[in-house]
Amino acid sequence: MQKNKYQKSIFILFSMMFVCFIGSLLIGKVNIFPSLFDSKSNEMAFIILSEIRLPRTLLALLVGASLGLSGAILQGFLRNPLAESGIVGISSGAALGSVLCISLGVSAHFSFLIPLFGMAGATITAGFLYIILKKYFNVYTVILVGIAINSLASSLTSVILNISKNPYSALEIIFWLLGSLEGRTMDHVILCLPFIIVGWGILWHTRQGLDALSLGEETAQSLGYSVKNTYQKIIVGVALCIGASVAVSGIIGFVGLVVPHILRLWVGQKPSNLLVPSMLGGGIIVLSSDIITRLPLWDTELKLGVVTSLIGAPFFIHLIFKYRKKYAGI
Amino acid sequence: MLEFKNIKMTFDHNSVLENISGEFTPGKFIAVTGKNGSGKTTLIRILAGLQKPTAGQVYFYNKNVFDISVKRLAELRSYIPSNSLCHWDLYIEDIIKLGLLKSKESKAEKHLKVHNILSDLGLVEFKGREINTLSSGEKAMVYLARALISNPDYIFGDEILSNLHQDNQHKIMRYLKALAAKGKAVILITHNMDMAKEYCDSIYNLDSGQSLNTLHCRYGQFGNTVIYRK
Repeated sequence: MQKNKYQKSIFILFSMMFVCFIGSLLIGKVNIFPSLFDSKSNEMAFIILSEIRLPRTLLALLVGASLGLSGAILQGFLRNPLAESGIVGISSGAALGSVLCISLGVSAHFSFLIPLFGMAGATITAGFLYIILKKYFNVYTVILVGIAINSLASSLTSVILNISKNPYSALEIIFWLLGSLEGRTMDHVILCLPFIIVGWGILWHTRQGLDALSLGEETAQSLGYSVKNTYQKIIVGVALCIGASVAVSGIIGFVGLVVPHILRLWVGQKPSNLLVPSMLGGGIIVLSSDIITRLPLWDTELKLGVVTSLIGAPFFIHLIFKYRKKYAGI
Repeated sequence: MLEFKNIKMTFDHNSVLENISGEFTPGKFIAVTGKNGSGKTTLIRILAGLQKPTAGQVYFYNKNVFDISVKRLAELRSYIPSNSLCHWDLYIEDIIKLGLLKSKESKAEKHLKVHNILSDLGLVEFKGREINTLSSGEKAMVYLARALISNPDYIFGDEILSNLHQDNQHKIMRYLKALAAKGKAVILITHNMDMAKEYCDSIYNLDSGQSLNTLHCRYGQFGNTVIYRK
């Protein structure tokens, strides 16, 4: 019965994601639908599809799935429903790298340098965390250090913004920090894809450890799952997939926190059962938010990170009130 | 056979255990008692291979516990911590199945084992329920089932009777006694002397981490199990 429920939820989420995928290819500033069947203008329509909308759609899926997966993994590991990838400090590290690149002005010539700097920022942050983890292992020490790094990287980002003399680059930094997939190409997809896939693979390996941790650290250890090993894998996996995601899209808030919550009410609370649904759910939310940013209702495109939080926060409040009894039990 | 020699444990210069030695043989139900802070939990954790002692060795069947692979160790012994809890509201079958995480058996075999242990412990009626819908006595039985499903030779339990009604305490003790009769070694930390006297083969008292003494022995003093002062 439980197994059927799980498979059914995967099927429904996958179908929803597929609908969003098609929607994302068809919806935009230019209505390409009529020209697809018109032999004169369909070349243009195909260029819009393959060069503009497809990379964006793929990135939305990759980034959303990474955010959902990392959120589910960290909530499972810390056994705390408030966790998400931000608390590890890696996303802020990646953002700092990208912002530095924009402020140096080199990105004007090679737009590709922004994600590369972002990944470098994520790597440095993760390396630092990893060293601390090896030396002084205690989950809470590492989490507190992650939160501190998060603040440090955010304040350094503010410093860069503060001393920036060029108002255009300051505006570019602010927009970049709000998160967006506008203007991303297939090259961005190819750049981040390997890191994201490897990151997913590493995170997937922690699933049994997360289940064991449901019964507490001591029981998990007696079952043969070391808390330290599990967290080392999580740091590396999150660094790869979130580092690469933030490097191409900027910071997209709320997805990692809210998606596992919503799905926990549906597929149950077993940590390993939440991973695939959270990936699909994250993909659906980021993709549908990205479609909203492109709706021709506004003069300028809305930023993706703004939309995810704008939809996510009220929905989350609704859930908390609707299921407050269930949450109180956690 | 579980042997431990000259176990010594210090935390930040505070000595918790001093040269504790002894052996536990399969087929015996053993209780360990002692005042709060006497080092019972530390000793049991060391014996279960969950914590490295400052000095001394633990051997399972003549093999050092820290040389045994985690997978083999998970089959060899189970450990039930005091105040067992489940952080998420899982189905009880899923919780019990966690005891088989390292096992390579097929899903069908695991499923059958879960069913068997549930019927052994009289928990079949709770199938398909979430853990938070159970009473604390019922939860304790589920955590016990989790520890027993891997069919370990050694079962370590840390105050698993606390907060339980007498009837449930008797139920658990009867079951553990039957397991010992089948050749398992059950080592239980408890403050409940009445229960220990009624069911256990022998009772040890850990005296401020200094010595482990036989307090009571149903079948007379056996072998080397009386423990030595340093």
